[in-house]
Amino acid sequence: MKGTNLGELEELVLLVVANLYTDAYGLAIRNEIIERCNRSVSLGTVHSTLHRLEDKGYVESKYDGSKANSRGGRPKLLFSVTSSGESALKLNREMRNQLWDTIPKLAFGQK
Amino acid sequence: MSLLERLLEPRLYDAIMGDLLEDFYETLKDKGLRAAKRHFVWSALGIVRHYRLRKTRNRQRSNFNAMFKNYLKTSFRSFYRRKAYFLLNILGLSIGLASFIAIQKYVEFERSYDRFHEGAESIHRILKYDNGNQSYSVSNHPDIGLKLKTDVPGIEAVTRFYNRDNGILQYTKDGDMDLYKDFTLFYADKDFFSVFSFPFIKGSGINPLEKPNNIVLTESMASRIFGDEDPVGKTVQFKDPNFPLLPCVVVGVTKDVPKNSHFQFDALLSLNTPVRDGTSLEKMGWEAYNTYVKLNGALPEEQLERVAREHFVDNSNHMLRSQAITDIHLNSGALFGITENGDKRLTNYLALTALFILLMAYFNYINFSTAKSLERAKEVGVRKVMGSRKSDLTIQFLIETFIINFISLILAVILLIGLAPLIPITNVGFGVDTLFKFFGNERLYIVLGFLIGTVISGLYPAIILSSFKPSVVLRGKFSRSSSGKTIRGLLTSLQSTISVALVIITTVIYSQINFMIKQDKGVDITDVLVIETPDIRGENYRTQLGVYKNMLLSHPFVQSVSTSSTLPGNSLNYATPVRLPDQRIEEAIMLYTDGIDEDFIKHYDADLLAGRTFDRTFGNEFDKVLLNETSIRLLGINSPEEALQSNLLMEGDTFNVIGVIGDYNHYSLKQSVNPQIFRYYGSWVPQFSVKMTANSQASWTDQIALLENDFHEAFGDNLFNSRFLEQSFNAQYDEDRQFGNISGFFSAIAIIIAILGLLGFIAFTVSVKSKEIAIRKVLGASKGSIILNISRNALVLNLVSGLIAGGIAYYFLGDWLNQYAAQLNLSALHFLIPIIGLVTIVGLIITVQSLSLLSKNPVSAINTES
Repeated sequence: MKGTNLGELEELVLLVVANLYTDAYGLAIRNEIIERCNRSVSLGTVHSTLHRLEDKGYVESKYDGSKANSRGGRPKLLFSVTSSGESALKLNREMRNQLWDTIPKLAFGQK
Repeated sequence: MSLLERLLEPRLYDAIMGDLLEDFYETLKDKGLRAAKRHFVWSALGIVRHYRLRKTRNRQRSNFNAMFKNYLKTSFRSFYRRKAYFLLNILGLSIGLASFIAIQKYVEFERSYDRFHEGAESIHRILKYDNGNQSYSVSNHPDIGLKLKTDVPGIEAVTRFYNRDNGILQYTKDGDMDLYKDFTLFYADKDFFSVFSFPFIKGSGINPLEKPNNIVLTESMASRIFGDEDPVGKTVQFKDPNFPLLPCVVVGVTKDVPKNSHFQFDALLSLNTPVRDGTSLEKMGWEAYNTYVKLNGALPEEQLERVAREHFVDNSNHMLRSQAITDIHLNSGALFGITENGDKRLTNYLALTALFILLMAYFNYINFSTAKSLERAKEVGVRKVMGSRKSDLTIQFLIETFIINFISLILAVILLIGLAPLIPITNVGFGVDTLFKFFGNERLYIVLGFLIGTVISGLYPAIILSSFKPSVVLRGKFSRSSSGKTIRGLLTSLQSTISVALVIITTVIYSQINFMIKQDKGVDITDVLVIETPDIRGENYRTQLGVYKNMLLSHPFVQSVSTSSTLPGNSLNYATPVRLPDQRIEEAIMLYTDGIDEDFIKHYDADLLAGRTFDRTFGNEFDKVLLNETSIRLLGINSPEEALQSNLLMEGDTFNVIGVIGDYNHYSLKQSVNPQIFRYYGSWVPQFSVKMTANSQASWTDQIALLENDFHEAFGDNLFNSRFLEQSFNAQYDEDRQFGNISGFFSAIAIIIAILGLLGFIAFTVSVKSKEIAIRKVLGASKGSIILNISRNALVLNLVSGLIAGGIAYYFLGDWLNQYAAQLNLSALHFLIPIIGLVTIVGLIITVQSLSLLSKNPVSAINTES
């Protein structure tokens, strides 16, 4: 495992989990990513990423106890961002901002 | 779904499954069922792809693999580091395992007898029991079988057959007639194949024996006669010595009779074949039929009794009994068994020997590995410091044992295949295929047995080794372990006990066989050559016989010639009821009839106790008989002289007793003497017996060639067959001898293993005491006193084990010897020599090992810190 860095997909998923807040479960997260980012991801990828994030301690999960028929009577596993997840996101954003800030103006005008 | 359930981490399963289903229903709404299904499957497979979501067990396995790899590596390192020790272990274990497998195969074969028949448990043999002399006989009247079939409910099928092993088959092809002999033919009734299972390879299996003059051949018999021709439909001629030539049509060919069948045949002839004047054998009423029944349920004992009462109207002593076919080989007491039967006790004894040999090999392993514990102690210490738990170490050592056991097993199989010719077990092969069949049949038991073996041999050393305290070991305070010393002593003594017991038993078995061979049989069969009379007999056969007898007598190396219907060692095949005139019919005694000529007594050097032998000068002698001692005793006659005044009633005629012959052993000395009655036969007998001059043995080959020339001169193109009687008589001991050989072979292996163990044990004991020896030496003790001091314990221990072994052997042997009519007297020497041998070997080993220690400088022993 590459330390505690957030990968690109991981960051995306983490952001979506935060966005969905109380309704962040596997399929919803995937649909959200497809809709908002216009990216096709599979359910397996989403779960796999969530699992990895959980291993790193950035999200935590619990079953909601619902038994919706549309889910074959199975509960949802709801994810929420932990505080270390939050700070990882913030760190990422800050780092990115910093990098943006220090780009010389001419750098993009070369072409 | 089930795939997901099996693979996924259980905690995630519900969530993912729920997601998949929700997705499925949505797609269903949008795109229809087929697309939804396809989507579902793809998504599901997509999930499986992500190993992260799978069960955690999978991740643990990689951990276990690493550990296991480490164990393997350290095991092989330790093998490599101590090659000699490793080889010794492997060698001991593989010899032990090989012996175990070999004996097990033999025992398995012995126990598999007659179990190949379909529904073997429900097949029974009907025996006639004589309450008078309490003997069983397998020969029954043919009507008994018929009665059982018609009168007794619960009997599904009955078959009867009559055994004829001296017939001849003739087959004429393109005008050439070929003769075949030395095969066994059964006259069998039509239900033979309803009771027994002998699969056909050619011809019909539906009642092939129903019609008269039908013959069924076994595969090898068919190929002997017909080669590559198709035998079905061909006609052969069967010559029963008692009847004219019988033409027979081959209706079928069966597979050869399996070796583990208690009866063996090469051909079956339908029983209803007319043998003489249109009458079938069945109608002759001979009491000579093996009768077998197949039952539907339990055997109705009282029905059997009823049939017996109806049949033996005039003799209440005769009863019928039944015996399960699966009991026959190992559990038989019948008088006229069809082939030699095995012995349950001996089989069990061998099975026990096998187990003991294996245990001894395991004991050696245990002793060696605990004795060498010091070398592993540091490893254990370091491992413990690094965080190994005791259980981890136990598993590590068990795995090491497992590896050693496994290598030994492979080596054992290789040894078995390679050394098969050396193993004195002849009835089972040790080819690759039979061994694999063996492993195939009872795979589960073998795996289980192997694991149990590993645990037996590995658990104790593993526990001992893994329980060392690192603090003690690593500080270097740990000296040679005395832990397990008592156990080691105990195991070694047990080995000594077992091997001494085996040695005693084996030597006694050999002595008993030799005793029987050397024992006075009552007749002298040394240097007797048997020449069979010819098979093709012309019109002047009788004259030819006389001519040939004279030719034989004309040779100076021929002492005498006699003719008789049977010979010592050959079967007494005909018994008939005989009684005194004042006895009632049910008091009649069954006596074995034997036809002899006037020279018989002189020829065999038998004793004539009273009266005279046959003599043609008194007339034709056909109404005269001789009896043996056992017969007159059974008839209730008090003395040989008294017998001479008696007349006997037999087969409807009255006979004069003219002489009494001293008992001689017609069969091997395993059996007691049979009651015999001798009648006068002319030369119409199956063989000449020729007494050769003993002092010219070297030239026997030439002399037999001369006799063969004469034979052809007298009988033309007939086959000349000769053999020495003593050889065929002693062949009766073949089975005992084979048993002796097997027992001897494996006892030798047991001894080798035991000596290996002793060597290891003593080497260890001596090396532990090296300091003590050195100090004693420095203080001025003599070599002798030191050796005595070291060896006292071991000697006493081994003496005790020897004595225990003697006790065990005595118990077994008493039981075993009881079955022989002529018993060897057990002497103390049989027991003392092996025990003294053991103690001497132990003493020698100790002396040699301590002498090498004593010749070293004591200072170096005292200086070493160990």
